Amino acid sequence: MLYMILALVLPLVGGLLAFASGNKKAPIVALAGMVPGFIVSVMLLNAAFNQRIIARWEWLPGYELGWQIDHISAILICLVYFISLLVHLFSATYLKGDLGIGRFYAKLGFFTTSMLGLLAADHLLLLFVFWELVGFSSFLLIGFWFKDQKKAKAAREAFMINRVADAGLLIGVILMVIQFDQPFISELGGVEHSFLLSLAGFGLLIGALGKSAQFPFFGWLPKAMAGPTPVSALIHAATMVAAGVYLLIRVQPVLTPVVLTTTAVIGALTAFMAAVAAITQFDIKKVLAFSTISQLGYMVMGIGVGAAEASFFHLWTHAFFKAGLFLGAGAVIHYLHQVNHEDHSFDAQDMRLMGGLKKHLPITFIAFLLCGLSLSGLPLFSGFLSKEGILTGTWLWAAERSTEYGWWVYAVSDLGFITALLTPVYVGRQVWMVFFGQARTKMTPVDQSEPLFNFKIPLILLSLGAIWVFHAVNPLDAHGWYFGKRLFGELETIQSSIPTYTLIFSIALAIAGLAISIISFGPKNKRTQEANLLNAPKSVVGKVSFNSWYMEQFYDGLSSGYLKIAGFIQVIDKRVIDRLVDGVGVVTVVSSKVLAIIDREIIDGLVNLVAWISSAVGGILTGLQSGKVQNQLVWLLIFLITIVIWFQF
Amino acid sequence: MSAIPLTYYLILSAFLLCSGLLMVLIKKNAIFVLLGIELMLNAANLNLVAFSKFNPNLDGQIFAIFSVVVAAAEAAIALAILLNIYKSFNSSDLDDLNTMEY
Repeated sequence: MLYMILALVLPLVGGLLAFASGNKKAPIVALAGMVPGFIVSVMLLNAAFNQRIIARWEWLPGYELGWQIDHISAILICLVYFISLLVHLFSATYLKGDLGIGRFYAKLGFFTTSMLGLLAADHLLLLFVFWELVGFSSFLLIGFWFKDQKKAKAAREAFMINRVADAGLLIGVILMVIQFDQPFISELGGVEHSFLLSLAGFGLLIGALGKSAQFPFFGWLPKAMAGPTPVSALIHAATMVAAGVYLLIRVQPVLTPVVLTTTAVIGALTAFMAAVAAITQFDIKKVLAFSTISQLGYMVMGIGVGAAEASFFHLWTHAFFKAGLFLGAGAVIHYLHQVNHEDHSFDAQDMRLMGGLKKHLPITFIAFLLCGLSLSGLPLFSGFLSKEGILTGTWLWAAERSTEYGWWVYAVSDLGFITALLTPVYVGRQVWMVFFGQARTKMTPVDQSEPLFNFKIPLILLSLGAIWVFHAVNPLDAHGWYFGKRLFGELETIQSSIPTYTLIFSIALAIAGLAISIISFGPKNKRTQEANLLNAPKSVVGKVSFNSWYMEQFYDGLSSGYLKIAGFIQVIDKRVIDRLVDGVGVVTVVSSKVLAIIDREIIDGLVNLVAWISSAVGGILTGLQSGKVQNQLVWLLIFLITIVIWFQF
Repeated sequence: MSAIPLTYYLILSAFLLCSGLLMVLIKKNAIFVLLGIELMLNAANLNLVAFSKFNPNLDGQIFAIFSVVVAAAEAAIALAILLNIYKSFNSSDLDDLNTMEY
């Protein structure tokens, strides 16, 4: 419990203290918060493996909020801390001399705390709150260089797309709470499948798709590359984008089959589309962004087909090698900035201006290569293990469902395999373009291009994470993960030849992909030699890929469509509604005038008449009571006569 | 003998009563009011006498004598009261004597 609170708030406290202590000391102060935090998180992992940590307290009378750290969240908390720690370290050099470095560390700490809160939250609404905080802090970090209009716009765009998807999440959360009549994620279950449950599942799915940058929301992740590169490594590769996958893993047991099938299809589609888009990008970070989307597509697909443990394993291994790739890219960009800092129009992220960097950045090269091979899914690397698990799961699922749904389910697994072929192609292309061949711009040796502590250590640690032995003993067994049994229990053995086929296929595809990349993008190839800023793709496929399936144009079209509708509605509003309102106003005024006349003349007249009658009657009747004896006598006489006459007739 | 018919008596008596009543109602001085009352009383007496004339029974005439006696006593008492009122109000005008006016 104490560990939990400490683990959750330490990054934020560290970040705020760093902000308070000024730009010079900020990195050290922030690290002073992160290092104990990491140690605490390891102890938390140990504690959670012995017993789930559950904390609940009454927020309002009769209404509880709750935290829970079980195996899954504990291991992810450790992971977030690990990556975040390395990113803190890396940023100290990457952002050295930036005037906003204190602000940067405060934002980084805020983000880390939000992410940890998201992982530890057991209450659906609490989860939503941290989900939003994560989105917001990501917005702050993407827009870190907010003075650059383009970057500020990119941050806004990423935030807006996320918000659209978050609306889906909110709907899903509310429907879930209504369905299960209790808001704790750990106690979901025990409700029959129904239409509402499917609807709730779709809501959660939309939220997860937005956060994990899946089709049709994936346009924001390449935009998010406007943030500092270490931030991309932490948020847009290893942790935040994994939040959607994490949520789906959490709620997967209660999702209905139709939702799961949709999840699988969207995941496969995204994996394929993003892999295609990655092949023609020239921005070193955008290639990585699309590869991230593609890998997240794998995870989402794995959840959809019921291979959640493989997805989680992939989430784990992907965090290491993708953070490694991003930090490697960060080192490259940092180096190019240092070399070309006098040229302001120089784009340090354009791969067409790189080449031959392995001479200048040897450690970065090795780390990037290891992580890249892991991403390609080559055997002996961690990416192979987890990706193979997902592909096997998908194939098994397709084989099982094909009788029920028809042949098209094989398209899902086939898209997975095609993506497995495309992945090594773009990874290879990137490695060739960046590190091999001739330098295509000025490259001079610089002192401390890879500072030992701040750059080399994170890169080495993360590239070690790309090697199989740190995850499983057998480099070919997808289910041999050390943590696998603790997290998901013993898996049933599969009586089928599919896993063997998958094994052979994925090795073959990875090698074939690398071969293709050597042939078409290798250092000997003319196109790579002559790569310059002018050769954008010209074929139809190339254009679709380079513009990432025109997703952005699609968004623009959507928003301009909305604007048109809004304009139309505004005209209607002005012409019809306003006039109606005006007319109603005029009618009201006129009728009130008429009513005023009626009121004054008729109603008031009646009232006055009544008053006049009563005063007249009163006047007459006061005569009866004049107090004069003789008057009284006259009346007496009159009434006497009246009575007499009355009796007479 | 040709007797005066009853109607004549009754008309005279009604005239007397009305005169008395008028005096009671319109005279300001209390003395005149008393006089009016006497007139009305006598009108009643005249009625009694007139009716008894056409009736062999003498009850009416005796009743009229009683009535005259009572009227004399009443007049005496009323005048005495009036005298006292005059002494205390220093007026015998009915309007001045009014203490019931609102």
